[in-house]
Amino acid sequence: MNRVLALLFVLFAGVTASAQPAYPVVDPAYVIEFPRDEGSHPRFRTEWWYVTGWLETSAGSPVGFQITFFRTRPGTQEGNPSRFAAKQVLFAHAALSDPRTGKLLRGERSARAGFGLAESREGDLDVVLDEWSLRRVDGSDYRAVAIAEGFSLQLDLRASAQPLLHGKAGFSQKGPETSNASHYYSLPQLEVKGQIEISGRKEAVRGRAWLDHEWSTAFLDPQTYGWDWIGINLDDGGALMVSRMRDQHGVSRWAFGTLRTPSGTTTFEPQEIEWQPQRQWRSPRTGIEYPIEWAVRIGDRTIRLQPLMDDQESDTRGSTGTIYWEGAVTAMEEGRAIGRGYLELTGYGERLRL
Amino acid sequence: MAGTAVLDAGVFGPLRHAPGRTALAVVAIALGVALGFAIYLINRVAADEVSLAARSLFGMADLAVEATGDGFDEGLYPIVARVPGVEVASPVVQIEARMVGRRGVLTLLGMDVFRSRRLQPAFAQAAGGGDKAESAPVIDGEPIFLSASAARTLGAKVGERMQFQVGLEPREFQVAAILPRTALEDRAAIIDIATAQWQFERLGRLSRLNLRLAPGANVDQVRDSLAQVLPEGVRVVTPGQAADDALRLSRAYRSNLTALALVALFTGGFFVYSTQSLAALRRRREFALLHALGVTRREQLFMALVGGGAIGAAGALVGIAGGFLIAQLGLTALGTDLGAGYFRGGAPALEFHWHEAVAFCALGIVVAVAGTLQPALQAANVPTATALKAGDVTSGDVRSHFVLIAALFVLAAITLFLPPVAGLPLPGYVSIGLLIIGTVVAMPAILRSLLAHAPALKPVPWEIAIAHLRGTARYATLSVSAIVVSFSLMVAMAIMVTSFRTSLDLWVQRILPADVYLRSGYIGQSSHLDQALLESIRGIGGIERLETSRFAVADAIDSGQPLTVIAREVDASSAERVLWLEAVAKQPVAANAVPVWISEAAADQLRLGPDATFDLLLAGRKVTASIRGIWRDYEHPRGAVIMDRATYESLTGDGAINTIWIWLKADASIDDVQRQIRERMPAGSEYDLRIPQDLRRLSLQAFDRTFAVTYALECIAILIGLFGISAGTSAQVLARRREFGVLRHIGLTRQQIASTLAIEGAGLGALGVLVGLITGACVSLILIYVVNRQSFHWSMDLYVPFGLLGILSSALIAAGAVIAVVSGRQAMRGDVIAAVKEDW
Amino acid sequence: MLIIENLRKAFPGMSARQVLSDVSLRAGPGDYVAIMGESGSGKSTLLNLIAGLDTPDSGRVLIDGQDLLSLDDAARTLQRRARMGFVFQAFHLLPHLTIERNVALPLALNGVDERTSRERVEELLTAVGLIDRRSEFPLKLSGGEMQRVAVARALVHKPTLVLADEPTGNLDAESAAEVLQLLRTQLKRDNAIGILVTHSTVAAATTDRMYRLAAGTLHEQSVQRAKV
Repeated sequence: MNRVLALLFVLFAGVTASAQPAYPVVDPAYVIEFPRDEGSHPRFRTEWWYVTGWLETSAGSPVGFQITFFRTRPGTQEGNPSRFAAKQVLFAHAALSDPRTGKLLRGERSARAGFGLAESREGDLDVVLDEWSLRRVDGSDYRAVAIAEGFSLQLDLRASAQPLLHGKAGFSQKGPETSNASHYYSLPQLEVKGQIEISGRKEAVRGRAWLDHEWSTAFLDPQTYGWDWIGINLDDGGALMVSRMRDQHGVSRWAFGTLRTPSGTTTFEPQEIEWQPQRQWRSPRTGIEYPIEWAVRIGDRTIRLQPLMDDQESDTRGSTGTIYWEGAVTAMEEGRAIGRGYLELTGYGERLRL
Repeated sequence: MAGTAVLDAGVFGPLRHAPGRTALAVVAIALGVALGFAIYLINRVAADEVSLAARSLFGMADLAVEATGDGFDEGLYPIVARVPGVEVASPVVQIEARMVGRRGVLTLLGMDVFRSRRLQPAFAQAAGGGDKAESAPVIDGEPIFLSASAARTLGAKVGERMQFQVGLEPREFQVAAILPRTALEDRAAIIDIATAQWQFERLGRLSRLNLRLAPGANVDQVRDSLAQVLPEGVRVVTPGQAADDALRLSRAYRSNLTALALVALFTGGFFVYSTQSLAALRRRREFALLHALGVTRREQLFMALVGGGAIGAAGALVGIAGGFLIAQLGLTALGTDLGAGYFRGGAPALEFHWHEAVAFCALGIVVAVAGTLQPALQAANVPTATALKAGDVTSGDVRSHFVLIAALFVLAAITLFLPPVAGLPLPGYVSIGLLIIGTVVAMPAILRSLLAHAPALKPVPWEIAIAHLRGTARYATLSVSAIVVSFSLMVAMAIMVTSFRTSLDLWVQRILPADVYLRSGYIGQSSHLDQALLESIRGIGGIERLETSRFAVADAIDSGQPLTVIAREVDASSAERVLWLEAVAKQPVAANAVPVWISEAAADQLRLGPDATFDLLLAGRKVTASIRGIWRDYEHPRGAVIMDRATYESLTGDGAINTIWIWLKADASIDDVQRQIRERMPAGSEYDLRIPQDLRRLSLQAFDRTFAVTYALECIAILIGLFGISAGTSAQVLARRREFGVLRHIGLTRQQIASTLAIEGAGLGALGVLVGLITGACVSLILIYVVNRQSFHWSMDLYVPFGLLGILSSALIAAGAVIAVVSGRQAMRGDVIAAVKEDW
Repeated sequence: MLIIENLRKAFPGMSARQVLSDVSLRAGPGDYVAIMGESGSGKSTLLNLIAGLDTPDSGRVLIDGQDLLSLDDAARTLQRRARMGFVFQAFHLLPHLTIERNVALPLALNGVDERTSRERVEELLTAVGLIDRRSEFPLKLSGGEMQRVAVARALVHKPTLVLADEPTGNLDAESAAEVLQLLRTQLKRDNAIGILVTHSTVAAATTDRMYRLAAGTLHEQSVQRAKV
């Protein structure tokens, strides 16, 4: 989180040093249950629900999309009896990657939780921030709505596969120390039907998406400057999540991954994962250079990643406060597309702080 | 049209011919324009500043939802936020926070930055902007963001700690940043909304919701939808309305000041009229000659008007420059309210707008040309043959205009009974204007009848002076018209101000019957006293009894106007004793109604008298109030309602106290009791502990500060009036050189010549004084009983400052004498003797 | 008694000019003297010196033994007030005073009581033939009438010396004769010294002695007593 957000927090946070609340620690023995753990875990410091995916308009053009809800417990004002006390703060972010224009459309919202206007429910997935929302409607049906300036997304998502628990049954270690970890699962292979609107023009879309849900208190260790992540829906019905933590020199400090194939699910150890940049792209706005094409080795397989379009940089210094690249990519293996998903590259401009 | 030579002969020649008088005329117009322009500019800056400040509290909001007093329940927030068409609803808790260790209060805006940043992006940017965060002091306290204006006036820096008093307890904040001017124009500061609610005892309450509408939303539709969800007492306002409200209280003051400033221009116009008339009289022969040489009367009229226009233009240009400078000085030295205490904030920058300058320039020229019109017509209609004949003098010729005078006075009287226009006492001003013009028109007749009764005194200078004044009634009335105008207004102001000041003084003494007053906080302010303190003070020896008062605000339901509520120990039997009642109820209190006593301003606003009932919205509850009496009040401009403290507490549950009234036993020592009270106050708390004499002194000081500027304006009008005597005398002295020469021959000493001039000047002065006193007294009655009543809703009793008027009158008569002698010093020079032999 | 001794007066300046180089004159009560001369010959200068309105470079002016030049301006003014009367070419009555008050002015200046003043004014107005018009203002009168009023004013306080500067210059012949006659009669009646400055030989002929002012000095001329 950058300075702006830090200052916004200062506004209500005030006394940060004193009275740090007792945040719960991520427990390896915790058993994730559905739909209970799809809901909010407000006692943890940080939590997010992250929907990414590929859509296709009725005319057949591919469009990448992303809708994210963050929840944070800043730990301040916990003793303030005001209903406005910022005990929980919600952020939302949405983006559309439309290769027809080559531009990334973005929108965001933030609010302190309360008054029914911004809430994240416990026990089931139901996050709302004004007119933005992500909720489980029924069974395996979900609905995501984001209404930003210039575009909106209203998507029905249906889970066609079992949740994918990362690490050890959802306990996902993020660094050399076990204290840096999160609870983490994904819902891959979500079938999408819905409508997008760009500059007042509505289009019906279909597609396939991926939902990440992760909560923790301290998942980054102090030496971690950024991370790379992919979530790919494989064409064979499988799913692939690979991620790594980099230090300030860009060297991997930690890596982890999960691969589901029709034959079963494999988790990978840090030494089984290697990220090799293939092509750099420099942002004309921020001047930051991102490696947007990769060869990722997991175990004995090497997956090549090719972006839907180059410019999928998000500058969220106005809200969540980071600059990063997050975009739709195609996964290739031996020259053949094997799936589509999202690539996230953070910490290339400055250190990522959460 | 006239050629250059003729124009030169007809326009600029005459102006050059009497450079002194032309210069005085230019100065008179310049002073009038300068004052008018300066006051206008200062008012404009004040209005801009106030409305900008009021608007900036709303950010980019299209609408706002708000309620009087401590606001409305926060439960309304999500309801309003979900009204169709509302895109952003940003909640605000507004607190008038008493500063500890500094004078006065600071407006704190408790805001939810996540909401407000969508309405006030400049503010959010400021909060995070630049590299300030890296170098700034560590902020580890509760952060507060000061507006640029607040930081400047308080001299506060980032990192500095500030304390505010809630009740009697301090709350500490630390200045986290100073916002740029564009982020928040008002003298205010921003804190977090949750902190505001908690620390300032406002849990569950909001003052305002700033709303931004969705693009394409219909404002009226949204207002309608909002109206359906808002409870009584909560209203929808536009930022513009808020700015208007902020300006309304000071509007009467500002418009009265502007009227006063224009008096100087008005007087300047009369001065131009007298100089031009004098010139027209003096130059009759010249005009006749020009006419004989073939200049048409139209051309002559045109030339005279061009001459007036030239004076106006020159004066206006100087006046614009001067006015701008005066405004700048005034703003830096006195602030936008010129010391009246209406506005807060520092000295704003003064911008120059061409259209304003052009408008005031035009006003100056119009006034000068209007002043020239009558003399110009006269000059153009000079009978050629008669005027060319030697010895043609018409200066003694006086017409009475009885019909015109009567018409003007009758019109003035009728105008008095017209209602105010848009809340401003315009008919009153028109009436004053008619009265003064009528007086000026009546001057020749008045002069003639006065001189007819002038005592025949022995000394030769007296005889000559009176004979001269009598013989030159036209000259005399012309010289004196400007002084009549300005002196009558000065007399009027003196009587009005004295009446007001004396009434205020008596009122202050009457409404402060206790021996000692302990006060903390005012309407909506965070600091106040409490029951515990009251009990503790009750224990002090030497105290006979205590009373309390509490200030709050309530809406009159019918008009929606806010009224100040004062909760005191008062009942029907004690009201007469503790209030200055102007009217008392005769019927018993209506069933289910609460007895209240309302101020005159409130009575005017509600248009209600004693025994009437009206509905009040007090702390969200509808209360029916029965008016038991109307009391005189100079303190609460928006109108006040007094109700019994017990009733107030039972209606609102508000047990806080703002003032404790303390009566001492006969043998108690005030100092001792005050010391004991101080010992009982929490350390570091801000409060006022005063005896009535202090309060009286303070209120009179405030009064004098408010009127200081009006005195200055009056003096300048008088100065312009004195120009008239100077110009009149010097114009005639030139024509009377031979006469003075003869008098010197037959044995008048220089001294006696000076005496003659002094008597003439003093005579003119006395005439101005006499007429000015009479007219001024009439005008003061209009000011007291019509203009003030309508502007400020204040009753006052008439008190005439005989001493002051005596001094002013003597001073003016003396000034007339001195000015006549100084202007006529040519008459005392040796060369007047030679003038006897000059050819005609 | 009027004694003028060796008056000298030069006007300073670029073209400095000796206006009066050596003027002496004596006149006793009842003497009526005419002084003639070209324009610019110094007649007015001499008159001003006699009246104490100007100071000479040297010489003396004694009126009833009082040296005017030894007095300051205020004292000279008082001398003028008490001992002199003036008649001007342009009449110079005060326009805003009635005929009566114009004539009474010197008496008022000399502090003469109201009754005496009224009687004396009546006497003179009767003498100049304007008693019926006493309450009128000067502008209503003809030139000759105005000058008759002026004569009355010049003599009303019984001055030692009456200075008349071209009193008939603005009058037609008939009025002029009338005024000159009146002036002489009144001078003689009050036994006052009269000095008449004039261009007109006709006017000069009404006096007892006649001088011509030329080259800065006075030259006595033979008097042709005219029939008036």
